Amino acid sequence: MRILSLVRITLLMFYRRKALWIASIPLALFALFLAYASPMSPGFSNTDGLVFTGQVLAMFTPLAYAASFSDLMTAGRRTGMDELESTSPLPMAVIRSAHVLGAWVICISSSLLFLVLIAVHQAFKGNGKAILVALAVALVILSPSMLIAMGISALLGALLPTIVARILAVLAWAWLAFYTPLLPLPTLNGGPLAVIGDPIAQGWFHTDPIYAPANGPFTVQSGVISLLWQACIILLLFTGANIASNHIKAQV
Amino acid sequence: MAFVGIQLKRLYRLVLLPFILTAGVLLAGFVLESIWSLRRIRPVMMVLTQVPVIAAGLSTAFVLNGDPIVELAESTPTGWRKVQVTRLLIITGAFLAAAGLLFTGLHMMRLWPRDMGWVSIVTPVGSIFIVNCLVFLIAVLTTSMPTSSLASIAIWLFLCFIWDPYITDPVRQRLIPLFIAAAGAIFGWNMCGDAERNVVRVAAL
Amino acid sequence: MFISIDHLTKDFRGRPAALNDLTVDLPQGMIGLIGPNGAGKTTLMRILTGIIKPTEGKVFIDGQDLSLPANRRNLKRHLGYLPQHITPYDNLSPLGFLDYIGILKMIGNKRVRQEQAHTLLEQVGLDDVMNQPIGGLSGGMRRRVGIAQALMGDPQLLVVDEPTAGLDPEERMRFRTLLAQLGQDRTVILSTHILDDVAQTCPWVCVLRFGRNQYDGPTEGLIHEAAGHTWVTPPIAAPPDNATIINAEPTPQGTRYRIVTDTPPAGSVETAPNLEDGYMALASER
Repeated sequence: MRILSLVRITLLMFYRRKALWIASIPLALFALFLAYASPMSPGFSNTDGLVFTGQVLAMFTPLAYAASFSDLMTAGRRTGMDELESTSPLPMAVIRSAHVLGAWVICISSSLLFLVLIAVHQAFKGNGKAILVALAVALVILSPSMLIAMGISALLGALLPTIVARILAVLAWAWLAFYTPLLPLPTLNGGPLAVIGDPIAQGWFHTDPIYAPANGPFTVQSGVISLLWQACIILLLFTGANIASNHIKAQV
Repeated sequence: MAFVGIQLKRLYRLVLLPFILTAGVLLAGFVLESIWSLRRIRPVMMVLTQVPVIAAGLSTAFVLNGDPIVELAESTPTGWRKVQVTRLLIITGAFLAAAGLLFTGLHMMRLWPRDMGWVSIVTPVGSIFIVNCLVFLIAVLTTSMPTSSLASIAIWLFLCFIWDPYITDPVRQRLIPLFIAAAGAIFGWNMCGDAERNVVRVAAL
Repeated sequence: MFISIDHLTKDFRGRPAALNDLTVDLPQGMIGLIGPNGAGKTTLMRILTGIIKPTEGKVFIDGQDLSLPANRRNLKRHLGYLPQHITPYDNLSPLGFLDYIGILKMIGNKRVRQEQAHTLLEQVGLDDVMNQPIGGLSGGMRRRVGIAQALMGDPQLLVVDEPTAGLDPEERMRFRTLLAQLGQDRTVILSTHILDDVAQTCPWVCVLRFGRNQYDGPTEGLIHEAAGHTWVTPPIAAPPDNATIINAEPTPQGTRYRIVTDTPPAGSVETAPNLEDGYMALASER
C-alpha cells in the first residue's frame, strides 16, 4: 500500500509539471502529422494505420524524451531530496521506480490520447477492436521505446555532464530509431532486437515493418523475443542509472 | 566588455562544443569521402549536419535554465534579462559561426545535402537561429530545463521533418520561421524584463 | 539612507496579501526586521531592493520614489542584497564569484573588483579558500561567500535576509560585529528570526505581522512592551495558563518558567524584560 501511495504522489508531482505536458502535446502532434504524411502511411482508417501511427510516435517522440530526462536520477541530488529519500524505509530503487513511472505517464499520455482518438473514430466507423488495439500498441510498442529513451537519458545523465548527456542521448536514440540497415554500419533495425516495434508490429499485428526484416518476416515469436529484449534493456538502463547515481552520490 | 567576458568565461566549454562538433563532422566527411560513394555518404551527412542544430537547442536550454542567483542578479543594476540575453547571444553566435564553417567545409567537399550553392548556408544558420530564439522564449516562459530541452527537440523535429521537406527553396524555407522566431524572441525579451515574474517563478520551483 | 514606506500593499494572485497597507519610516543605521513566518518580510525586502513592485503604495529612499525605473536603477548601484536562499555557482571560486557579482554591480575596473573581493573574503574569514571551488566548501562557508558578495561595491543600503542562518556561533558573532560596523555609516536592514542578533546590533526595529506594521521604533521600546509583565515562576509541575512561555528550565523540584503575562502564578518573581519578552508581549496583544 505504501508503494501505491508513493506512486500516486509521484504521479501527482509529475501531473503538476504543466509545462512538460504542454510541450509534449505538439511533439505528439508533429509525430502524428509525420505518420499521416509519410509515403508508407496506411492512413488512419484501419488497424494498420493505428499500428503504424504507434510506431512513428515510438520513433519520433522519444527523441525529445531522450533530451529531457537526463536528470531523472540526479535531480534529487541538486535539491537535497535524495538525502531525504535515503532516510526512508523504502528501498531507493522503489522510490526511483516511482519517479520513472511518474515521468513515463506524462510522456505517454499525449501520444496515447491521440491514438485513442483515432481508435474512437475507427470504432464509430465499425472497427470494434480499434480501442483495444490502440491500448495494446501504446503498451507494447510505444511504452518500451519511450522507457528505453528515458533510460538512456537517465543513465548518461548520471554518468556525464548534463549537456553532453542530453546530446548523446538524442544521438543514441536517433541511431536506434533511424539508422537504416542499408548503410554498412551496425544497426538493430531490420532484426528482432529493433526497439521501434517492427518485430511486434509484424509478428503480432501483421502490419508492414518500417525497416524490412533481414532474415524473413517477423513472427509471433519474434515479437515475444523483441518485447523481452526491450524489457531487459529497460531494466539494465535504469538499474545502471540507479547504481551510477548512487555511486556519484557516495563520492560527493 | 567585462560582463561579456565573464559570461564567456563561464560558458567557454559550451562555446567550444559547436566547433568540436563541426570538426568531427568535417573529419567524418573527409574520411567517408575516400571510402564510400557519394550516394552512401549523403544520407549520413543529412543526419550529421543536423547534430549542430540539436546541440544548439539543447545547449541554449541548458544555459538559460537553472541559474541559482536570479534574485541576486535582479538586485543589481545589470538585471537578469541582460544576463540571459548575453548568454543567448554568446551561445547562438558560437553555433552560428560553427555552422558557417561546417557549411563551407562540406560545400567545398561537395557533401552538403541538397546543396544549391552558397545560398544554402541559410539552412543551417537559419535553423540554429530559429531553434535558439524559440528555446529562449520557452526558457523564459517555463524556467524549466527539461521542458526547454524537450521543446528544442520538438522545434527541430518540426523544421527537419515537417517544414524543410515541403519548402525546399532555401530562402523561403527560412524566412517565415525566422520571422516567427524573432517575434517569439522579442516576446521573450519583454517577458524576461519582468523582474518580479523571474524571481517568483524561480522561487516557486 | 532614509527609507519611507507609504501605504504599501502587495497582492500575489490567489494568495493572501503579503503586505497590507504598510506604512513605516526607517532611519539610517541598523534596522532589525522581525516577524513570524509569512509576515511579509521577504516581500518587503524584495520591494526595497527594486526586484518586485508593490500593488499599491510607494517607497521613497532618500526622497527618491522607487516606482520610477530610473530611481530603481540608481538604487541598485548602491545596494547590497543577500537573499534568504542563495547557492553561489559551484564551479567558481569565492574570488571568481565575487568578481562576477562585482561585474553585475557595474564595477568596471578589474583591479578594484579584485581588491574588494580580497578584502571582503578576508573579512568573512575565507582568505584561505578564496581560490578553491565553492562546490567543495561547507554550508557555512558558502553562506559567508553570500555575505561577502552583498558587500561588494561598498553599498549604502544593505538588505540581508537571515544572514546568520547556518553559521556557527563564532562566525555568527563575527558577522554580527561586521554588520554593526557597517551600520555606522549606512542603512542595514537585517531580517532574522534570531532576536539576539537584533538585540545586539539594531538600535531600531520593525515588527511585521500579517503584512502590517505591528511596531516600529527603538529596540528599547519593544523591550519595554514587556516591562511589568515578565516573570519567572517557582518550580512547578505544569505550565501556567494564560501566559506566553518564553523558556523553561527543568529543576529537580519541577520546571521553572519565564513567562509574559498579566496574571502570574503565586510565587513568581518579576524580572527585567529582554527583546524576546518584548516581542512575545507584542505578539500576545494582537
